[in-house]
Amino acid sequence: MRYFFYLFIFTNLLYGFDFNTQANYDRLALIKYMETKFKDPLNNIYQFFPYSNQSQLKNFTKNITKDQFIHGIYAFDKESQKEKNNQLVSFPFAPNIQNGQYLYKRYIQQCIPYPTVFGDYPKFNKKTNQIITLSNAIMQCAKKQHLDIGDNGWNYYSGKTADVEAYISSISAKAKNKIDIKIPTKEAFNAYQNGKKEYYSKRGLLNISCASCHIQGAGKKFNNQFLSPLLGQINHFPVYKTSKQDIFTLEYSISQCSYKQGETPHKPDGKWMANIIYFMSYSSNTTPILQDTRR
Amino acid sequence: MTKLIKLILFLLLLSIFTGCSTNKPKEPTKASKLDINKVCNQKLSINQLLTTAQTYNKIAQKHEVEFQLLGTSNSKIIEKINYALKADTKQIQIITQDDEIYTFSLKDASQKACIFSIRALQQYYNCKNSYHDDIPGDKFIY
Repeated sequence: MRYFFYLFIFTNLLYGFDFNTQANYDRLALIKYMETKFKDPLNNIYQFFPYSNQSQLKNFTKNITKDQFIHGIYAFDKESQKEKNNQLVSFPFAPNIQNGQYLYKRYIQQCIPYPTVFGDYPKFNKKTNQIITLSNAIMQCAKKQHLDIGDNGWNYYSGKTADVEAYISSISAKAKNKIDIKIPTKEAFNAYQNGKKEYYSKRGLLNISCASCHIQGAGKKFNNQFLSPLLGQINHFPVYKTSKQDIFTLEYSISQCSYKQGETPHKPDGKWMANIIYFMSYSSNTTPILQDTRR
Repeated sequence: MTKLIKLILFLLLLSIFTGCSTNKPKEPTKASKLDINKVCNQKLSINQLLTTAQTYNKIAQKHEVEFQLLGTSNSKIIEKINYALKADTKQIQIITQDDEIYTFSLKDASQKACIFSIRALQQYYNCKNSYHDDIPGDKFIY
């Protein structure tokens, strides 16, 4: 173990300290965990799914690989997949994408010149030492132009911002881009570590962390719904919620998680939210972008 | 010169014995050691419960770990209790996202507010080290 440590120091001295090393290690460990968990769920029931029904696990797909996790719960649950396929033939949010295209070309293109950037966000801004998520970038652009900001206009949870995000993700998915997050500086690394700490910290009335549901709890049921794994989770946002018949951003889903945990939701434009999205995005690095996911 | 050295040594020793903790806020460290059953006991008066809830909830808000009950944040629950005390009513109402109404007596609500504010801080301090336990590749073994 000591020799590995010395080797690590030596390589860092040779090539310069790489801030991605720790994050990459975390990401690979997560992939290994998820792949072993979903290798054979029925046989691993006592190890990974102690309170699940055997009949549920019989419907699970075996041997899921890293890139298949981008489908969320549809990656492993065959019944949900059937339901999804029976619901609608086309994208349920095709009108949102059309509206997003119009809004992007009219207002956002001057700030984000190319729409194939879904996989590059969140970015670290070296000047301000802050993480900028895609929603942040869109909202900042809207504020610059004094556009209508509020529940019916541009906001962090849904509406016009979500429409533009849907358009950007659809173009990025067509271009076959992958999630490509980088940690360029020490400040960015601190933001990543902070996001990681918040993700794994137990909080709220229920005393559970984000990881309790989306890492250890992935594939189990909560409120009669399967929980999706962290790996490949941010790839399919914004998502269409069939109950509300509208699309919602990642910030909205995280705030809903906080609500269910029994904790006051965090500010969508705050440091906490940006850091946690940075960590979540890095965990899905090198996986493809996907659209048409419904909840 | 020797006097100056003696003075510096004295100040150094003094700072070591006092714990060098003048900059740290006192309440959070205290919150982690508090016994909720004693501090938020229902035998205490509403005002006593409310003052402890208010002091600790402010710190919980600073750390962004404030609790909420049925969609209402703890600070709003405290506000409602204060308003009810002024208006001399015996109950408070909490309305959920789905427009369901829940009523609580003032005693119950103030006890809940007290527990929430301290428990939030206790969780926050516990998680400073224990969050490693759930990380694959760190302390989480499967």
